[in-house]
Amino acid sequence: MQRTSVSYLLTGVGLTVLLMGSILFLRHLRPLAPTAAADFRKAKGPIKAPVQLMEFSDFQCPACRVAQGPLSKLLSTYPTKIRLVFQHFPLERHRWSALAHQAAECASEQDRFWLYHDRLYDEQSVWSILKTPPLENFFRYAKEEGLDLDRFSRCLADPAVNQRIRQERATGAGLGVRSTPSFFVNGKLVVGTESLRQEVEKAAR
Amino acid sequence: MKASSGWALARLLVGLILAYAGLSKLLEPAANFEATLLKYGVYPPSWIPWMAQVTPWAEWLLGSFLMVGYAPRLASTGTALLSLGFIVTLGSSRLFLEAGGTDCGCFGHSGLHLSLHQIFLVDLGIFLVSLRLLFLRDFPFTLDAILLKREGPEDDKLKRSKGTQ
Repeated sequence: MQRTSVSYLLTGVGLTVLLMGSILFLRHLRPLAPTAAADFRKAKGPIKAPVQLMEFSDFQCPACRVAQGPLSKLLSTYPTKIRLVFQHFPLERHRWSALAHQAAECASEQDRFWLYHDRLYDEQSVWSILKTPPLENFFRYAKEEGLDLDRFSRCLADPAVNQRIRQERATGAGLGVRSTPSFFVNGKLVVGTESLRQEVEKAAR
Repeated sequence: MKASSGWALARLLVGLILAYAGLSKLLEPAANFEATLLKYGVYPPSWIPWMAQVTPWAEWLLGSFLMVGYAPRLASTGTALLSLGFIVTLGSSRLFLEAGGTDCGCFGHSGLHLSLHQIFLVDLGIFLVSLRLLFLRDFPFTLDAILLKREGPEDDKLKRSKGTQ
């Protein structure tokens, strides 16, 4: 009876290993690239829009702040044709970038990503020049955008959130992102707002 | 015999649907399924990341176990609970009540596309079949049937030897 149970259990373990291993092998063959619909909280526009736009951006990068104007214009020109997904790409040379991205990700957990995103870019010139971590500023923005501050605080200290951001950055680097802001228009890498406008207009037609 | 073949076929079908649902999600970034779960607006956002990780594995393993027929009673208990969870989730989602035609996202973003109303019926079917499987006396055409049959005589010998001691 004991031998029966052992061989039966071993079969189950073997089957589980085989099933899990096959998935890991398939994932290895076909790396998981983010799709434009990948992150509902950091996306706007219709899911099945003809222009799937992915933005890899850094909150402390001045060029990324400047790009927000043309990007908003494109979104308002083609409100039903563009699906925009934001992807974290904090650059190491920007001192408070990692913290800003973590704060934005924490806002995203409370479904306030875009409000916080706009706030970080609007006030970039204020918090980015500070000599000490701009926690006070980030908490103030959180409060003013209606976030639950206890949850926000816990999330800011959560290493798993930072890990998620790093993962997004690594995915971007793997896809060929070298500078910010970088965009993918229907999977095609575009750098610079003028190229972005041309590519989006072509795809939206 | 005919009825048991029918239930064997139903078991295969339920296993196939769940295994496919799990597989299609596991081969996409977990964030896709996170997006789907968030869309339903039923669970707190902090639950979503682990739910998006665990659910596809549960579907894949339970579905496959049911298909090959390893521990089918245990697997059908799992699939019954899983489908009941899906039914409750769908039923309590505002999206289901207000926009039932929306893609359910249950087979990932690149897999099969079913509306919320369609998947509700599929989940109901899976739940009922799983429930029925729980009460079957034996499971023909399963790995269990092969394993236990092969090991059966030894068990008998063992039982007999135990009986003589």
